[in-house]
Amino acid sequence: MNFSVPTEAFIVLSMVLFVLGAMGVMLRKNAIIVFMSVEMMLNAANLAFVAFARQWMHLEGQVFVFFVMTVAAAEVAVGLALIVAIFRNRNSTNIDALHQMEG
Amino acid sequence: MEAYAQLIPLTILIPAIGAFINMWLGAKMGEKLSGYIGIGASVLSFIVSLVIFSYVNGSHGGGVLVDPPLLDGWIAIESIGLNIPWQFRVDALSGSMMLVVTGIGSLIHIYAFGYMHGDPKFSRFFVYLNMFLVFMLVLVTANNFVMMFVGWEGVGLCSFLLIGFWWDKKHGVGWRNSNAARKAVIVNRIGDFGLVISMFLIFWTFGTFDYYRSGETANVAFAKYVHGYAEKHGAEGAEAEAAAAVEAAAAAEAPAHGAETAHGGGDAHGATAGDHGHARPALEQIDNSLFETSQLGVFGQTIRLGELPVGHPDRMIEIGPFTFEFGQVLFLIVFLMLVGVTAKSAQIPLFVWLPDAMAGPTPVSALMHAATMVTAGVFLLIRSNVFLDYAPEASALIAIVGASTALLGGYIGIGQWDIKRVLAYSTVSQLGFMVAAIGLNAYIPAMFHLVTHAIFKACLFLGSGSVIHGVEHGHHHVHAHGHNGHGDEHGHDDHAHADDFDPQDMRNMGGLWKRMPVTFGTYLFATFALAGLFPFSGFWSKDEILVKGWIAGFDKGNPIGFIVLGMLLVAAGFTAFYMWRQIQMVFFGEPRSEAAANAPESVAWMTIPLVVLAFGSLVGGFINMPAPINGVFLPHEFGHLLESLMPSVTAAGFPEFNFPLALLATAVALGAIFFAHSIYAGSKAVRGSGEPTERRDPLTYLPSSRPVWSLANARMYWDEIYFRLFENPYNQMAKWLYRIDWDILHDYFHDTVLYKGYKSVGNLLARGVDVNVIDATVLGVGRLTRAASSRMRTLQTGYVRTYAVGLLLGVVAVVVVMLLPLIQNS
Amino acid sequence: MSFELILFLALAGLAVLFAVGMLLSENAVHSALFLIGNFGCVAVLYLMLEAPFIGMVQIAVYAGAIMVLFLFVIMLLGAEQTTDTTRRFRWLTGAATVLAASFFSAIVAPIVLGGVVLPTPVQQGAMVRFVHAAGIPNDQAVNLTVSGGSLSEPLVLSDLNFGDVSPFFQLEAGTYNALVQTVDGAPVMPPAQFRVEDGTTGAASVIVFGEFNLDRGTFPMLSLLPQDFTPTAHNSARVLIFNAFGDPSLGLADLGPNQVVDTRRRSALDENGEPVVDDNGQPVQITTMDDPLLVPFTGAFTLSQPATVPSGTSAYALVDEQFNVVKPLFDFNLAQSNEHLIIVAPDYLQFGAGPGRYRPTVLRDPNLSIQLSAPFGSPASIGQVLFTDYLLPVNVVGMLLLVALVGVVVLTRPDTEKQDRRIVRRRKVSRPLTSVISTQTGGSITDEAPKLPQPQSND
Repeated sequence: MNFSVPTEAFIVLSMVLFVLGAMGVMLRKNAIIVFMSVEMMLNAANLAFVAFARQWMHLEGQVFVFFVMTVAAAEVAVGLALIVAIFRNRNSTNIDALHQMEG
Repeated sequence: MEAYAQLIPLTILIPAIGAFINMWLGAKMGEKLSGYIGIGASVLSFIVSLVIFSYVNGSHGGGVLVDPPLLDGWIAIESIGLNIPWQFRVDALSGSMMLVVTGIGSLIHIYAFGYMHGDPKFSRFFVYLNMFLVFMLVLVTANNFVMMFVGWEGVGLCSFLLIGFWWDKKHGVGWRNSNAARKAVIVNRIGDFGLVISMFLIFWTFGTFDYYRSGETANVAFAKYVHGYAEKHGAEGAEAEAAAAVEAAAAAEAPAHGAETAHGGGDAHGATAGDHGHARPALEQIDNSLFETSQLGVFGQTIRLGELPVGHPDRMIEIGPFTFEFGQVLFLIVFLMLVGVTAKSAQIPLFVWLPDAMAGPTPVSALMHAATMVTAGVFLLIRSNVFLDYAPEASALIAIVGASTALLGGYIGIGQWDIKRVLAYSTVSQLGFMVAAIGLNAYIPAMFHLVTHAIFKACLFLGSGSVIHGVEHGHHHVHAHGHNGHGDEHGHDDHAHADDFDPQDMRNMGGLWKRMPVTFGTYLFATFALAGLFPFSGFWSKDEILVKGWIAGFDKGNPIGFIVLGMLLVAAGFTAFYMWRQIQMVFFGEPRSEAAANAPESVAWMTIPLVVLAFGSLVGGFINMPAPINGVFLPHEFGHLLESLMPSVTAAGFPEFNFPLALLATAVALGAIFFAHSIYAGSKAVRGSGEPTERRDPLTYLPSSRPVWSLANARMYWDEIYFRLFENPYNQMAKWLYRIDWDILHDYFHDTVLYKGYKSVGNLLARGVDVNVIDATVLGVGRLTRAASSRMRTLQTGYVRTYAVGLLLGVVAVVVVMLLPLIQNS
Repeated sequence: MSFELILFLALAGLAVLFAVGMLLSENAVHSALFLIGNFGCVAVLYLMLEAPFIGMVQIAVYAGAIMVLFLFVIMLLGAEQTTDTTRRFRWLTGAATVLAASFFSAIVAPIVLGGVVLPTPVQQGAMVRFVHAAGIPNDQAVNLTVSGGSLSEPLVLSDLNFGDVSPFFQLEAGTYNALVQTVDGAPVMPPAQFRVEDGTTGAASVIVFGEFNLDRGTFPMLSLLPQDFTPTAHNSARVLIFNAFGDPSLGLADLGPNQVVDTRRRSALDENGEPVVDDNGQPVQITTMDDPLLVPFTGAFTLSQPATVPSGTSAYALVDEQFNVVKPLFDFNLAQSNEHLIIVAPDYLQFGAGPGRYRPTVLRDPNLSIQLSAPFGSPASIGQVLFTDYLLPVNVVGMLLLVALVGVVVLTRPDTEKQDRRIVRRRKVSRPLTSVISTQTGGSITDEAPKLPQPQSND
């Protein structure tokens, strides 16, 4: 089957978004932005899933994306609650301020 | 009427309920209530048995299989096709046995209420008695060998419990009642081993344990005759005509009850056509032709196989690597069954437990060790009569064993001092009569004798119990100064005596007929019955056995018949002799102790059963008279009932009354009585004075009779021989093994080899291996870990971003490893 | 350059721009807004990828709910700006960039270089089922042996009775030989062939029909009927008629509630609405039917055009061109979203000793109706999968959401007093435990415990 937009293009786009998200996670210090970067990485993965689902004509890829979105919603709720809790203690959302786990 | 047969689970359930009530509540209820429950259960069971027997009697022997609810698939293993149902069989044999067991059992329950009065374990005694009834009824009503064996072992258990009822009571030197109980169990174990092997052989041979299957006719010829398909042929045409006339009269008299007529003979299940009384069963419904051989019960199969010619392929039974002819297998089955019977029914060589079993309370001796339990073996052989028909060699062996036992029991009986021990050997002797009769294929006389013997021997035992009771009370009366006569406050019992007075020793008795007239009268009746005097019941039953011996000897020329007849006649002489000796010693002459002089008559609870049984001893023979009496008692009525189970009886017919033989037997009995009278009459019964144990029997005064009496008194050294042959070697071996165990195994092996070896190995492990290797390793790992961790933990910066970078580093590594081959391929 | 490609490139560029914007903006609120834009672009891409349901969820859940939550938290905390005080790990920026670049190239390089060959789903032949529609005297059953094509071993359908329909078999493209035999093995028709084309996504039915005594020998004996699985509209069904009976042509009429064919005679009209007259000048009378003709008349041994009809249970009838009822179908259910293949087959009836005759009958095998599937990626199809194959995961995820809800409530509760007390209690327990351990091990552990250097705080 021939698609006007090849699946490879979607995969490359998904990779670009993923890498950008990963850099956000690694480089930004605002916890909220780090979190948003994580969401973007999830989205990039979802995009790849959907692209492959079309390639294979299998619904399972889209179903999996559905589950990823659901879990992401739960994760966002809990993560933001954590950020709020931390902010209450530290009065900051700077993740570098949180290094009590230092060995 | 057939519905009556369905009541049969009740006969067992009622005593079981009685036993359970007494078991849980007996101690709290008190003597009276507990006894009433026990007696009530027994009497109710008797009433139900009567109802069932009325059906059996009205239907020519019945023959109904009853499946009780809940217990249907008792032992069922589908995968190997094994199905042993809990199934009752109501027929002439089980019906009459039920009557004997529950009837005499009820009387003995009543008697025990008086006898056991004041015993601290009163309710427990009734628990055991009721339990015995349960198991005995299971035994006699079973339709398969396994269920029969449950009853067989159950009555053995009750026997053990009741022999050892007063377990701590001394019974001779170094011998307590518990020893007697154990002896009974151990001896019976030997017999049970034989019986179990016999049952295995039966299952192997026939593939089933069932006596009869539903719808199967036990005695085809008899059933044909009953239903008018065949004229009865044989020695007694006139009698057959008489029976046929009765049959016709019954049919004409009660057409509405034609169902009974139609049901008779065969199993009523099959005879649906007769349900409304307008049709007799079709021929194929009663001649078993609808059954494959393998569908029949064991006896039906035996008949089928037995009719085949010797060597027929169906008759070849493979047992493991061997192939046996059916006749050989049947011999083995019957022989091993005989081993079981010799233990349970006290035959040579395993009779030794029965005299010792007299240690139990006297009602127990009467019920179990005289009237019912010990006849279980005889019952089993009668039930297996078809086996015996086709195993003539085994029958001959049984006849010899029985006759020898009869002779031996009678002989030992003349030399005993203990009133119950005399009766015990008498029981051994009489059981020998029955077994000998079975050996001569005289099943009906054997069963007849079983019934009459149950009655008069129960009467004798209860009478002896009454005597013991009386003597004991007399003893208490003499010694209980300050008390008001009876020793009831002591707990009257014949156990726990502080002194050496033995109330069972006939040397302590004498002249009791005045003190205990009722006991004396009943005892005399039962003695005459046992001695076989006309017209008491024993005369008729013993005469039938002798007639069968006569026929076997003179008419058929069977040497076994002569031997058995001779031995039984001598045994009958012994019987009359020792019984008259006992009568003289116990009831006549002068009282030889104060206790005897003061013995009171027993209470009504005890004397009423005695009177009933004495009456039974007188008239019990009328159930199976050789000739009709007054039209009330028909000739061989009991025999015709039992005939429904015994094909050989139909073939051989009933023997006629043999007048010369009856005369001879009576003469032997009377002669023995007169001989005994001449020796023991009056005060000559026991000679000598002083302590009872020093008094002597008159026979010891004659040099010619002295060894004879001494040998009998020593019980032919039978126990001593067993001690030498079995017990002593066993004990010696045990001692030797004990020494091996203690000296070699324990001292050397345990102390030296195991202990020291273990210690040295342990030292080696502890010092060499544990400390130097394992500990060092573990500690080294610990140190290494600590050293490494103190460096490596600086990797944990605590900054999330560094972790993220580390993570991505790992991801990149994995991705490169995974995708590198793709790059290379492209 | 198709429109779609242009659209993709535009959206992709926009998405990357949004992403970079999110990454670089100092203000968290701006970041969030950029991210919303990014999500929107991705949602449109989902639509292009035949995933309309996922696209909708993306907009509703991600761009809507989640991002609103983000904005809400940012504004609640006033955390738009973070004061970056850390001076450690300056090297991280470079390391992260290098790593990200290598990661990107490690994945994209094989794709660009063509190392990754994405397989295309093979459209394998067709689903084929076999129908015995031949009225044979004595109702003989037949064995059908299908061989050739891609079959490694013959497919044998034994004991196929009149009216039996086999389940579907997946047959790849190729030419197949079909051999019809009686159950005794005697051939009842010459070997026939049928061809399965590649690339057809639908189904096909091989119909065995005709009279096996070869008296009516001109009939084709075997026919391959193409069908498809494409869905119909809601409340409608698709009906195909295959006339295996022969003459006459048959159509399917919906009789309506009165259950009879409502016909009336009227003058025939030509295209212009003028009455048609015959040679004698008389107007030509024709018969018309008031009831709707659902499936047009179909000639002998042909498959009608698929007709989409309203679904439901009604009285239908197979009528010939004179509107005579050939075969009534009372209480006939045309289930919605199903394709119904109505096969009219000759049923041989014999009364008494004389020769029998054929009667048209409709095969009623339930296998003749196909449940049509929803379009790929539609909410209906995903819902069907979710609530059948993935019911348990759906439930688990629902539970997860519930737990997350509770967790959020617990986390944001301003209750610190209890936590302190819990810590104190734990210490009380742990002290004796260490003393027990130390006494057992001879005090060596506590004695040798290293004095760790305490971390220096950089704050």
